[in-house]
Amino acid sequence: MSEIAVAPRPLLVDLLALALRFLRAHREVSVMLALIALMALVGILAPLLAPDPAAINPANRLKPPSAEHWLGTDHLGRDVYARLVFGTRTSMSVGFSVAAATTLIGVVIGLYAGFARRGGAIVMRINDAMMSIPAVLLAIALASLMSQGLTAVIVAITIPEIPRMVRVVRALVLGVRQQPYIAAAVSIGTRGVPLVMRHVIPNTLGPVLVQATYACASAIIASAVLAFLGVGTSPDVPSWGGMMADARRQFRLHPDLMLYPGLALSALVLIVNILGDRLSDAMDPRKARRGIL
Amino acid sequence: MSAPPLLKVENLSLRFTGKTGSLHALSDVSFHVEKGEILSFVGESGCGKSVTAMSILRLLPRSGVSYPTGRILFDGADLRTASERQMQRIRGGRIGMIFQDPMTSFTPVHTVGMQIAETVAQHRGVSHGQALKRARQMLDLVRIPDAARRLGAYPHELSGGMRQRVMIAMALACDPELLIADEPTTALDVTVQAEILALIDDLRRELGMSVILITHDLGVVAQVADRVMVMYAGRIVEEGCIEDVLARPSHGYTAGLLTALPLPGPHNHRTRLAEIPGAVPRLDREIDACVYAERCAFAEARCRSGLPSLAPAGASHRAACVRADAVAAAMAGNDIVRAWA
Amino acid sequence: MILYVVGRLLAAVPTLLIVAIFIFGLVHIAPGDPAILIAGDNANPEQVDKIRERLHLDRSLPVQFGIWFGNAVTGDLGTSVYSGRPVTELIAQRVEPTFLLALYTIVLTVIIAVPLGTIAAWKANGWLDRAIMGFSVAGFSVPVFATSYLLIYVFAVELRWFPVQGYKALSKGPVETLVSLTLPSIALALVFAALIARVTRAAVLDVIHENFVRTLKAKGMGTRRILVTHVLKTAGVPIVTVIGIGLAALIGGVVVTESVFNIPGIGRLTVDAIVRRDYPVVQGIILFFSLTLIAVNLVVDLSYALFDPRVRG
Repeated sequence: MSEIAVAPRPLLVDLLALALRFLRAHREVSVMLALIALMALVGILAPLLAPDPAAINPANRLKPPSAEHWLGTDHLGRDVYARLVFGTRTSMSVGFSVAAATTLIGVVIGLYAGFARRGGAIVMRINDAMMSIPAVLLAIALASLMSQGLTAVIVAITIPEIPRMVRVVRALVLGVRQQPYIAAAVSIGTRGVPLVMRHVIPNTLGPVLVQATYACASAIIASAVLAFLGVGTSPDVPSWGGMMADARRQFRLHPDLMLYPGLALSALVLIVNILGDRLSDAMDPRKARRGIL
Repeated sequence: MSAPPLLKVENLSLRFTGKTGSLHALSDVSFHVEKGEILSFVGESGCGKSVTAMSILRLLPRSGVSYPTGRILFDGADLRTASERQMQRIRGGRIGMIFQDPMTSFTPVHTVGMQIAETVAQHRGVSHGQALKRARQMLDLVRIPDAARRLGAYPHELSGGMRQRVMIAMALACDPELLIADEPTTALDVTVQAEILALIDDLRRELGMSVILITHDLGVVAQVADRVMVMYAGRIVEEGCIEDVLARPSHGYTAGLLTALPLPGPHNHRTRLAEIPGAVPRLDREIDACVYAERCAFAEARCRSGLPSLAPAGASHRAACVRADAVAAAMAGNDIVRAWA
Repeated sequence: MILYVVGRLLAAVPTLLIVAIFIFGLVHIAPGDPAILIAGDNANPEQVDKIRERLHLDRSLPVQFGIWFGNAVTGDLGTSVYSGRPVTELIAQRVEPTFLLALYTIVLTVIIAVPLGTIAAWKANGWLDRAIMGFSVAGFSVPVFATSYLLIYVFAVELRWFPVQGYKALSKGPVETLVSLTLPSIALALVFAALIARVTRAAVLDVIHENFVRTLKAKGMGTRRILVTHVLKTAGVPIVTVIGIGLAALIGGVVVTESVFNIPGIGRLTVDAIVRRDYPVVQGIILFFSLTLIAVNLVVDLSYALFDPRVRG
């Protein structure tokens, strides 16, 4: 059986070469990654790209686009373009942090649930129970319980996001455990941490990456929801959700104030979701066939 | 041979096209089915026997399949160019088909009664009640005991043999003129196999229909077929009356199949079965030689230069083999051949 | 069959208990004195003491949980710190619009998503499939409040077909109610349908290559009948499962949508309670929604028997 082949070694050089080859083979993945990198860059370089997003100018409220304010000003006379650019920071940092935290915690719990016999069942019971609490509701409640700030938002969104990752990882572990190469590794005495690091993690990397991407997308939406409802984030921190909340009162006369952050938010989430889909397609190359109908 | 044949396939070729190239799945296949007879297609997996049957009813995927040449004349009309609506009327109405795996060939979530009845309703336009009545008659016909109760059974509640009987009942519910049976006994226990074959044979006499029986088992052929068509690598290599073909096999491949059969008798159970060496040729290009030459025990230099065409090897018997006489002569000592001769 | 039902019911009990512990713990996870947290920043020490006493915060945690859970089981979810009224009563008053909004959304979702997903699977990899799946990714990428405002702008502000905001109670006539809930339901359904269409496609694709489809075609059945009567029914279990699971996401959406459209449902109650730090109400609502989800998924489990005779056993 060819499946008994040696599991790949996670050597850095090998991985880099593999990643490069993967990107070259999957154009759409590369394009989406490039777009995300571009938006991250906008977030990082925000102070160079835009004026102060917090500068209030009551005399200059709700002005149309001009040379000075490219997208006009909001109800406090703040520059909309600047708030849009700085809002990228908020969305990107929440998205990335939640994805990273969810993956880290979810993988550890998922591995445990997949390997421990009795403990695993208990963990999954708790996990399933957690999943029956509506995620957004839980995030809102958690965010309101903690002190205001980005960290609180990240924690509040991460906690309801973890159970999904746990479920994915556990299912993967249960699948991988059936594979002949695990039996082969165990038969030559590989156990414990080396077994997991060398054989289990590399073989679950793909689907975990896909799930992390989806977690990132859903975190960006959740953070916008929190800001929109005025929970957790301070109104002073420029965020797209917060901009939309501010735009509610002027909506009939100035729908464009709602449009810009709405578009930016939707575009970023769309890019991340497409990345997830394409990654998932790339990991599972079985293409859907047409039937005889 | 006064009446025109029910089905006449002429020069049918079929290609599967994919990203990497195309496969010549069928090359120049011509045959006919008389009214009331059982014609058997024999050959190993991938020889094109199922594909031939599927193309008669146009059950192959629409994308990736092309027919460069050929006609499929059923009662005078060409099925290759018929409209989808015409085909719907023929499928299940005038040509019934049963498949190899009765486990997966039923919708798991509907009762077998409903599945037979919907076929009847589709083709006869009768009420649901009448269709169910017909379904019950059909279950009686295929000798399922307690038919009225079985109508309400789901496929998973029936045994494999029982399911294949229901399959036959469903295929015959609209009195088709032709039944195509694609390896109907392969997935069944040996004892059940014989029952199902006997049932098919009985029913074609009772109902006067024609049957195309697809199998890889020459034993099955010998039991019920009137005529046999041996296929190899997408081509017909030998074809004729069962008596003629078995009494005087005239192609190296037929000879190979016969030699590979286990022999009955007390002294033979320890002998090693004969096998055919080598593998089927690649079908991604035209072959300008006998397709079987590479594996044939009788092959000569001339077998590898030029493709032999089907030539008469007897009264109603044709073979595509330049060494036909030598094959027949060499096989004369074979037990099966001796029995038929 | 009865054994199956009882088994499912029993399996829901521990889930319920874990959810209850978690929701009870919410207030205690947060740093600081829960009494001060609940009383708010402007409360005086007397008020804090009163709350501590009323919520039994001076007792040990397990005892507190016992009291809280015991009351919850009998339908007593405590009283609102803000209005002093029973939480159960507050929720009951707000159920109608939320329930109708969710129901309307699910109906719209099924009408949109199941046919689209089935067509996408049928025409897998064709342009129609790509278009539908493109719509689907876009559907769950655009946040529901963005869609809501787009719909408000087009259909309420410009075309004036629907009211911008507000809810007309059922008692004032069902047509009015339906009209007032149409835009919010569409906004929610676009997100939900995007998810269900994807799952439907995957479920149908799994089934469409089964041998029985070939049998059906060989008996002369038409494509539409094969897809609807046979393939969709066989693929029903995963589709219904995801509709049940997706309800969790839908509830999150309801909270946001009610806020955008100014609908006086449980979602609005949630946001108000959060802003007022009225934690008994927040706990009560989360418990209520979780219970609803567990109950719905129980019903979904039981409905498997409807789709698949093999489950009945």
